[in-house]
Amino acid sequence: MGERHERMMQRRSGPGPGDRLFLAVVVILIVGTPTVFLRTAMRPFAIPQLTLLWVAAVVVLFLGAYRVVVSGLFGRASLPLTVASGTFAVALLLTSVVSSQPWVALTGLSARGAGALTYLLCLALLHAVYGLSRRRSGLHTLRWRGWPVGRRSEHPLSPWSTSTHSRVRWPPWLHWLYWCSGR
Amino acid sequence: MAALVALAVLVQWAMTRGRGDRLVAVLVVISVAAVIAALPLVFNAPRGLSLFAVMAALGVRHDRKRATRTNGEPDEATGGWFWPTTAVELGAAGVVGLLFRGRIVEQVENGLEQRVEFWNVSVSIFRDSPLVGRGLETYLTYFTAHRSVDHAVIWESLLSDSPHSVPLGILSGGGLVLAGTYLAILLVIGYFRMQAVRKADGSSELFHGAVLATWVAYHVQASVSMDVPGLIYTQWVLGGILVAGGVSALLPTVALPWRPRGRKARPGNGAVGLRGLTAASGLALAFFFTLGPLSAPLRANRAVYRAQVALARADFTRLHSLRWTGVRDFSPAFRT
Repeated sequence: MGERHERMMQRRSGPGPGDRLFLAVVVILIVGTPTVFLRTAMRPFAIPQLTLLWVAAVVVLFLGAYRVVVSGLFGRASLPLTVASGTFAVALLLTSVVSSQPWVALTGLSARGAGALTYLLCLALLHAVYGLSRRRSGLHTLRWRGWPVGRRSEHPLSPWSTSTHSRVRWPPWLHWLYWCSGR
Repeated sequence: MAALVALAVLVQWAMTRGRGDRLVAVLVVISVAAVIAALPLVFNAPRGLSLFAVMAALGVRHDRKRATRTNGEPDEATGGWFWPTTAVELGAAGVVGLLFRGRIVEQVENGLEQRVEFWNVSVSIFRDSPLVGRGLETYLTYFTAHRSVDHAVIWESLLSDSPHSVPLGILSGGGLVLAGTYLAILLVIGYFRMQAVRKADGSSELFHGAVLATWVAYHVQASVSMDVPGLIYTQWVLGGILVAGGVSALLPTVALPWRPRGRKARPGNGAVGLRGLTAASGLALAFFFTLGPLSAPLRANRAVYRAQVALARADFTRLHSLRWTGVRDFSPAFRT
């Protein structure tokens, strides 16, 4: 029973299909959204940032769908989180539909874009980051071709990697991915 | 001031590093502190930027030398500096607070002067439609009808499109239905965050503590500010990390009917590869079609900018053509 449980853990801890791109998109979203701007727009900050957030979040959604299709596995979230997320999503849609300005409530474009669509995509992000952390695949997917697989503490992305092959000192902001991978 | 106070966390982190790691940690903290405290001064001074480069080079050189010497093994974090550093930080915060007391009080009063009115308007909008609210981001439409007469007289031209409080914005925009479910999801994340911190040990304790502090900090600022695109995703990403850290049980996965089994599951299997290729092509095509609506606000915004430029140059031919381009690209929200 114990061995079976261990095997399940190992299987679930492996990288999922598309996780490498998935991780890259999440990093682009986190770093890019607050910093992007476009001088040739009337609202040079809000609209480009919102567009990047929407596009990156939709890519994350599509990559999640790709992972499910290819692996044939659908990872469940915890029940309280699933229920809370589901009711929040329904509430977002319901309050937008019954609003006297449904399009504004949905997109939020008359102000700063904090409409139902943005919140729904943020909800998807929560689940994506949750899944990435649970799969512990965030850093394995970044393993370079031919990189030695050692003990977990020797992973090349560890802040204090002991790998003799490692010649790369990763930037600190990548460390959250290491720690959130459930080290 | 708040950003400077937040540096105390970094100072704490640096001082509790092992002796070998401390110098690099201090260099990192100095760089961040300089950016937060002196960015406006440094921005126009290339010398200031070169200082960052020198510090970065020193840090990298020291770190690499030490890593070679110790084979990359970290020094054990030391607890000896924890309490002295905490005492110094609290003392420094107290002294700075006393020195700038008048300025801080003035800033808080100035900040609250308009915000209290915005919050009252938000509550008034909520009272009008308590169950489902008026719709997210529709605040501007109702602002003038719900603000006080005094505010309308004294600040006639001052309008706001946001209640300057994320929870109040959700309350007035989505009523009890949305606010209740938002609170529920925060409580779920809050429960798992406690589990994450409780379960953590060693360095992961520091990590989850930092994530938790950032999550709480987001909500503190969100209670008196608005959800802008550059910030709105923060709490959800941090929430995902906290929930993942707090979930202890191995959650089951649902095996879908087409899940490859046995030999088919092996890497390099043709059927699995074909399915992956088909899925990737289909999703790429679907993404291509969603790019249009997703980028419509940006294209519309750029069209408006070009129209403004044409107007300034009295280029009415171009202005006329851009007008129609803009209308076509605008989402309906822009027409309202």
